[in-house]
Amino acid sequence: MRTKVKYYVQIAGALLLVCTLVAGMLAVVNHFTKDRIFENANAEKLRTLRAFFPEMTTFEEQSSPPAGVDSILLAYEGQTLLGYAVSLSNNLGWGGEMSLLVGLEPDGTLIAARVLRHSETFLDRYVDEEGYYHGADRSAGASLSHQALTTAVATAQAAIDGGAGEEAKLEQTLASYFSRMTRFEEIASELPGVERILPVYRGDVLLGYGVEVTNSLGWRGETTLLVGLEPDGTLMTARVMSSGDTYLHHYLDEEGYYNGAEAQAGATKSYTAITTGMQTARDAILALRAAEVQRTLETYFPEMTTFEEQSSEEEGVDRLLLVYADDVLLGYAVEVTNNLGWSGRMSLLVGLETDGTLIAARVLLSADTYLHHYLDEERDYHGAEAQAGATKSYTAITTAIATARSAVGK
Amino acid sequence: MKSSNHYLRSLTEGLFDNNPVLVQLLGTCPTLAVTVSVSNALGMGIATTATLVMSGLLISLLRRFIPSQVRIAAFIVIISGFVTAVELLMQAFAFDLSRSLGVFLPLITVNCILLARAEAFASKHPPLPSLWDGFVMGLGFTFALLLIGSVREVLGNGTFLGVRILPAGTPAALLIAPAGAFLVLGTLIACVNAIRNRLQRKQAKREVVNNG
Repeated sequence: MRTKVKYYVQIAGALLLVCTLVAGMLAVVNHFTKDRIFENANAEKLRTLRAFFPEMTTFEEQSSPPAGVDSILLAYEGQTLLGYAVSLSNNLGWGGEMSLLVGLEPDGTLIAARVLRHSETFLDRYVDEEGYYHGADRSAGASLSHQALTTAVATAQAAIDGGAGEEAKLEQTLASYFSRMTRFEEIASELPGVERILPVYRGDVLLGYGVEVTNSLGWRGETTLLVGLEPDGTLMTARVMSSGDTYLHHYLDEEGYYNGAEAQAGATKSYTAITTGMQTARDAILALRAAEVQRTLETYFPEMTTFEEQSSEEEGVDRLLLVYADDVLLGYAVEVTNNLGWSGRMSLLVGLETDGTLIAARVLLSADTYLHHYLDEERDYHGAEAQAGATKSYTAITTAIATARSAVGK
Repeated sequence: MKSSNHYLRSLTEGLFDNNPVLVQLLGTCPTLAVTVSVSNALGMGIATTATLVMSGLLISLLRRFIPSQVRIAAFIVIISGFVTAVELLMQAFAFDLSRSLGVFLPLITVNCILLARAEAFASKHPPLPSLWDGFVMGLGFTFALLLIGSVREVLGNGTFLGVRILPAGTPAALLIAPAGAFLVLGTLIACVNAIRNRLQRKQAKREVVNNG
């Protein structure tokens, strides 16, 4: 009995010793190689991306790839989307896991797929020397490898169809309206026909809006547009994102942007769909701005019950609002625009008490970059002093307040 | 300590008389698969030599601790560990080569040269001779691979180490195909056997003369 135990302990101990030694050695090697291997793999991906899209100037990674794929890279030449590279792996091959980068045109057509990692023995029947698969037919004796390849391509195509492609088009369209865009937000909208409002920013500065609108006014089915507008609601242009109409080419350029053409005989419904969509988008932004003015008035005059608009002759005054609690005048809100800001135009809503004392002035529109020197989180000015390096913004704000005061005669 | 003469003799042994590929016919799977080019053959040879040397050394060091009942399992763990290490190092420092060797790099683990040397030599000899044996056998393996790789790349593709030396279009593309590997290997084994037989006959004659 004793010797038997000793025998098993000896064997287990020896195997344990060997495994520990080997595992320790591998841990050390892994520690010194993992960063370089990671870099090599990334460089390889980039090389492959350039092989798919030789004209590529930039690429970016889709922030939240759909389930089943590791990442989606979007390749651009300037602003034009050249296509996608979908990185994914599956377990369908003969030798287990296979990792690929699948290059697709914007419409999902296969450019090529490159096998980055695999354990197949007959893969060379389908891929060239560099590991690129161009859609070779199935070959007897290696059908599992083929299955892994074709399934990967289909998965990649499904991944860009399932939203990634649409979202990429949306982002690309916004970037074409606002070349300085660094980010955009999304506001859901209750307004009929308005899918969503997308304020576009460069850092904290509002550059304008993209508004996605849908209507059923076209010749056949729904028309979806992405309309670009300036911060004050001025229409820029629109791009048809989807439509069943057949004569759209009268109104659109090759990429689907509205070219400004007048209604054409035989295609008036498409015209109505486009122009009405643009009007809907404009109304949505004006409503958004009116709501902001309303909110600002409520913070300046918490007891406000009504307000009325009065005409003003004062130059630079857009609107003069008299604010009441029942019949008692609480003060004034004056919307002023001038051109004195660092970036040019600046619009403010100046709140004044009845004696002309400043309550606060909210910057409604401005592209100045150093406004944070003067404004609180609500973008309200409360009387901060001029700061070196941002004097133009200061001049614009204080001049607007002076304009407002003179408009109410104080 | 063995004399340096002995080490030298074992070198010719590994390269010619007892070449693992051309005489012992071990490890033909990677030999046939990767010898489409000289650079692949060289990479595979170096990777295998490194694994042979390291695993030979470690197995020899541990030979008194490893009970004979579990020796094969222990050898395979050690060999596959070193193969994985070599694979990681190649991915880090010779990325293109590791890509072109592909699945045959991890398959070094099941190359029977490794297990054969572990079982026949390293587990019965001290560290230094084991290390030398691994090196010599690796060299012999590399030599054979280079020979086959050169013939196949030059005649099959018209290039040597990627540099074109024969005009394009002339090469015998069959040699690059899997069947070509068998043809070249068979021809080389025949040549080596012919040379060895001749040498043996000569030596036998000399012995007869000396004894005579």
